[in-house]
Amino acid sequence: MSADRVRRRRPSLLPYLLIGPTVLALVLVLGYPLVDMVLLAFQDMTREQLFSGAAPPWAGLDQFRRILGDGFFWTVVLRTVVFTAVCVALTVLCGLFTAQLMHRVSPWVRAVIAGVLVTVWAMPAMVAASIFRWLFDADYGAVNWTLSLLPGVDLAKHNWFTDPWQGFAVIVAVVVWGALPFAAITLRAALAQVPAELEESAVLDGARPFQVFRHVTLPVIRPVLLMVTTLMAIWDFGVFNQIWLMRGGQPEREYYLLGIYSFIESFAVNRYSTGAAIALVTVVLLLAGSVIYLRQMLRTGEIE
Amino acid sequence: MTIRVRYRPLILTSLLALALAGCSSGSGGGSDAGGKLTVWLAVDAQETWPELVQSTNDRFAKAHPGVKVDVQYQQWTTKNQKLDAVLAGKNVPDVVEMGNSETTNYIVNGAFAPVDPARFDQSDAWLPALADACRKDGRTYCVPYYVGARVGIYRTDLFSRAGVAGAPKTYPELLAAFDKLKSTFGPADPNFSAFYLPGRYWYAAMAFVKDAGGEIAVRDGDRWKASLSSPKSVAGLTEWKRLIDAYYVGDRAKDNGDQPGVVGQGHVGVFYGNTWEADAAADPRSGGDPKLKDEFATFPFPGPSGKLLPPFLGGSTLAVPAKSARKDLAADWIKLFTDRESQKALIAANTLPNNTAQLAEVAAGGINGPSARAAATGGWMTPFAPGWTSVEKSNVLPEMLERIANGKASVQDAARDADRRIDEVINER
Repeated sequence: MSADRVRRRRPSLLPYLLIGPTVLALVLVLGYPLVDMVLLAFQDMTREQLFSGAAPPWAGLDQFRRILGDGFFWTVVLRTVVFTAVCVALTVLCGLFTAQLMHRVSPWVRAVIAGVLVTVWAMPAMVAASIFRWLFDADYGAVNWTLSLLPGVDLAKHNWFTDPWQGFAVIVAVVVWGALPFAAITLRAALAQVPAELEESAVLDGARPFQVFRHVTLPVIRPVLLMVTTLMAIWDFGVFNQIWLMRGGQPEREYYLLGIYSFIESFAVNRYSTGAAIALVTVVLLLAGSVIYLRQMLRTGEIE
Repeated sequence: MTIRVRYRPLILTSLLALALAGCSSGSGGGSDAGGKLTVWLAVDAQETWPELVQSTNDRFAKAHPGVKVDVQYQQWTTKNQKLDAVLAGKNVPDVVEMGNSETTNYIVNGAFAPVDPARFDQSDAWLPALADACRKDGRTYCVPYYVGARVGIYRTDLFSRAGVAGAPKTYPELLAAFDKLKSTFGPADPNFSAFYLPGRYWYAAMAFVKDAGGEIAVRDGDRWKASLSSPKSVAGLTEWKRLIDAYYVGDRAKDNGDQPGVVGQGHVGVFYGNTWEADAAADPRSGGDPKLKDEFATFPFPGPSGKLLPPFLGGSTLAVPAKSARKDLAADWIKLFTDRESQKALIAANTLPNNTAQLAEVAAGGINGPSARAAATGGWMTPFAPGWTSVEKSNVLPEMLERIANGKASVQDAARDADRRIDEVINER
């Protein structure tokens, strides 16, 4: 009888107990800072309040007026959007190519590719960025040395970061390199779902390889493709480590993306509230972007 | 058996509670230790004069038995971020070492407690570069600790091989020495710099601005205004750029962070730096070459104006955070750490003392003699403006210099941009 009672009561209590710590941790670790950051963006916090512990005065929308009225802020927004678009496009394209390759090669080559991808995946972004920085070092970098071996090329002492276009090319390379394994392996899994007989019959009907991909493969892998693209966009929009490390912790203004800009305003210039406002705008922009993708994703779901 | 089933959730709960308790006590603990004095020093003390710290602690223990001194060494690059974080809380260090370009912002924001200068040895002879960084509205908020002044450092062996008689005494002599080095070693070694002057090395570039009579920023009543695009500052920057073009080979976007290591590679004739960098260039731990051990000598660097190139008097001070619960003990420790005896130990460690009286005790013929002479001429300081740390931390000066050095912008344009950026933050607290 007592066992019966316990059985009835247990489902009502245990799940909450189990999820409790997670919820608590999320609220403490994510919720509290998030609320604090939103509040901070509407205040005017200076070091005087930081050191004395006094409550910072409310500033309403002043911080937002300040950043939205600043041309440099919009330059950084545009730069971040373009950077994200380039990174996402390259990652997804390269990922798709790698996945197609893995789909077609013999099992042991596939195993080698998968092994390499996993190794890349296991490399922390910090380590990868440092290694790329050494590779592209102006004085002792292996890249300059190797390229200089080509006839007619002299890149000795060439600093890749003097010209921000070249610098960003290197940074994009690091970001895409780091994100490729996830994209490739996920898309490879999606490609495995495409029925082989569908592709075969399309080929028999005279479809060219690109037509097969466009009309047979793509519709099947579209949901996964959308998911990968969305996740990549979220990650690349918030890129910080790679730039910070490759610029030696002192990024030039030409290298500011929204994350870096927010950090510099907060912790170099000590305008904590302005930094929070930039971070908030970043989140809002990201949400707006995600909503478009999510809607499209839901719509794709409905059609199927 | 039924009992076991019934109590399982309870056991789980208590386990979780235990785990949580374990987490929280692990991360938050150790706030209040009675009779403990926490001292934050920069790593220089640990690396170069650890005996001084030990002897100070011994003397302090005699005067205050039962008070434990906990010296924690901090890296310059991360110290202030950590300090900001702890100052926002309650558990603060009792003594903090602060660079003299960092103090003003903390003082105007009420981070430090005032101290009575009369309590400290030779406070009437404190070097202005340090004492001025500690003063605000007639009160003193920190205690001078030591100072450094940059000098010219040259390779004696290369000088004699190039036929240069000795350390140059005037600017024309200096340029002649550069020319001889360049024509002797340049043709055979495409990496040879007669004068190592990387573009982002702003302490060097600003010395030329000062020498030409220019300023980074000038005080106008209560406000500071950037002045890098003034004609005199531009003249200084132009001369600096000319030296890079004529005598520096290498990446112009670098700073002086790895200077001793680069000099240790052996492709540099003269560089501008602190005395200790001569030792570091021959020390494998900093990337130097031990074979160069006795090949370096220092000289006071002559400036284009005909006087000595005014050196940046970078130094350190010691402050007591306003939230410290043991301000009196903290001041006592600082008093011992900076008194005449302690300053003697600093001089012995090839560092310059905090006061003009003992500056004269630095052996003129020693490796630090030129540095003492340069410091005695006055030198210069970064502006004591509330927002100066923001200017430094947002890299305005290195970025301006890199653009000039790489020819991305003219001196005038780059300086005007930098002025605008400095004006945006220099008056902010």
